[in-house]
Amino acid sequence: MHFADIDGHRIRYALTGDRGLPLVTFANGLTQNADLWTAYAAKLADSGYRVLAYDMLGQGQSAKPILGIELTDHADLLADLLTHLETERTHLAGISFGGVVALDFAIRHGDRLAGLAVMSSFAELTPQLELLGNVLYEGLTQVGLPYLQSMLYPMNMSSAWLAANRARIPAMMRSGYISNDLYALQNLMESFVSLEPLTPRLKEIRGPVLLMNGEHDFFTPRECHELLRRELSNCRLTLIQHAYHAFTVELPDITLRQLHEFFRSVDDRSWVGDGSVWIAADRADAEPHAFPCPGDHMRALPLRGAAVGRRRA
Amino acid sequence: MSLKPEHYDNARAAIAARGFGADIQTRISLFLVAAKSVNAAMLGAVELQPKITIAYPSVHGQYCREAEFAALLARVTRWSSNWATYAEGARLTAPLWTQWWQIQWPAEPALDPRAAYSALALGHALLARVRTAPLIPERADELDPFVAALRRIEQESGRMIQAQIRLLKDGASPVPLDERAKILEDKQQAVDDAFRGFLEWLARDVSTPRPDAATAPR
Repeated sequence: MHFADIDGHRIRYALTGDRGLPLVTFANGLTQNADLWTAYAAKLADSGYRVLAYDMLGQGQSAKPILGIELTDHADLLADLLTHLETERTHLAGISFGGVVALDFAIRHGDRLAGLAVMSSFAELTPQLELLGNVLYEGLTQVGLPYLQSMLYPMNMSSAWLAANRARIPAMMRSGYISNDLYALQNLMESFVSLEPLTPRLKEIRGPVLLMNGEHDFFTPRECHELLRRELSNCRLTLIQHAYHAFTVELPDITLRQLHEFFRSVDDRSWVGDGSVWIAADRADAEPHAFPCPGDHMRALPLRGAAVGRRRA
Repeated sequence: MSLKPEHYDNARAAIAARGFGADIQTRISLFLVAAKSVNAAMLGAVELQPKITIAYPSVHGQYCREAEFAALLARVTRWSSNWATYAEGARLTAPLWTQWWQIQWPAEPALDPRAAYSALALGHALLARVRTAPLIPERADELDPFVAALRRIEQESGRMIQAQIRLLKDGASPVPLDERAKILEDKQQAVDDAFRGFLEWLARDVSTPRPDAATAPR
């Protein structure tokens, strides 16, 4: 891990892979930090990429301004970090909060972007998301950071993952508690108050975009990604089977495979951003890595034929 | 040097190995009581402020809470009889008191906006950065009065800090923004430095383990 002074802020980052290789940058979720991407970075480096992971402003060991930060500061800071690292262009993958930052980066710094992967994210606060955000904020400020963490685990992970990792969860929560500060997370959440919906500007994103949404993600559900799919001119939507919001943590091999195939297709110019909807194979080594979604991707019920069209009068 | 996760991990490992004995409890309480007392002293200085503002209920409530937590720790702690522990505790907590004494010169917070902002910044740093919950070993008895007190204090600190957050971020102050940011940074660094010294102290061997300090985490 290295530290750099970017715009007067101390930023912690890690670079994996050789200089000169295509760069992949990861943007973290709200309570995450750069360490989340260590395994991703090692595997992508083996596949011919250079990987940048960093603690965003307010996270981990990067600066945590007490007076607050604007949401747009994150994309600007990433652009300046890339300049500091003497890098012109990057692939960018962002999850959840980091996905919003990645979209903002694509809108305002699109010339520095190769491919954009937006995972479990959104361009504007839907009523459901806004109210959920209010609950999370209230939990953080009125009860505390451990309460927020306790809420996020069952919201973001499957029962199978929770059962398999139950013994590790206290240590994982403690690690997250140590590396995050309540006031810094609160600042990140309060920065959404000034969030202007990105939707009207999504048309400005011309480059390739891979949207990824967990099958059972009820935090940022399908409607958030459908809005993105409709507005982005050069995208595809891939649904991750059995996954909830934090599939980068729960299904890292499958996520990595989808990202790798996307970056490769952008780099060898075989990418087709036709707005189609795909389903990721449920094994990381499957061929093909994804197949076209055969049904109505907006529905959760497995309706067939005439039943699809029936509605109550 | 900044505060790192390893500082917590090393201290927690030492506590897990030795248990919450009298010497460990004393070390933790000496630091926590100092943090609470410094914040209470600052809040107490504005208890008799010349003008009652909308912030008064929060400030007054926090003053009472901090005094209450210092008293709670005094009750639940099994105090060590090792004089060296107290000497070292005084040395490690002195920088916290020094911060408060420096704020009062040349004018106290009720009379000077810079001193008022500095006091809020120091209170914020104390509530935000002095966190002992990550020191509790996983197998510790959560019903033990000392462990329960640490949890309770930590949770309440998260709530109390809302007063500092709102006043620092949204409160009107004639102090220029750059200067405010510098004050906040300096106070946080000062508290981090003191807290890191405390964590390193916890991680060091307890030189004279006592028979009455042998309560292992259950």
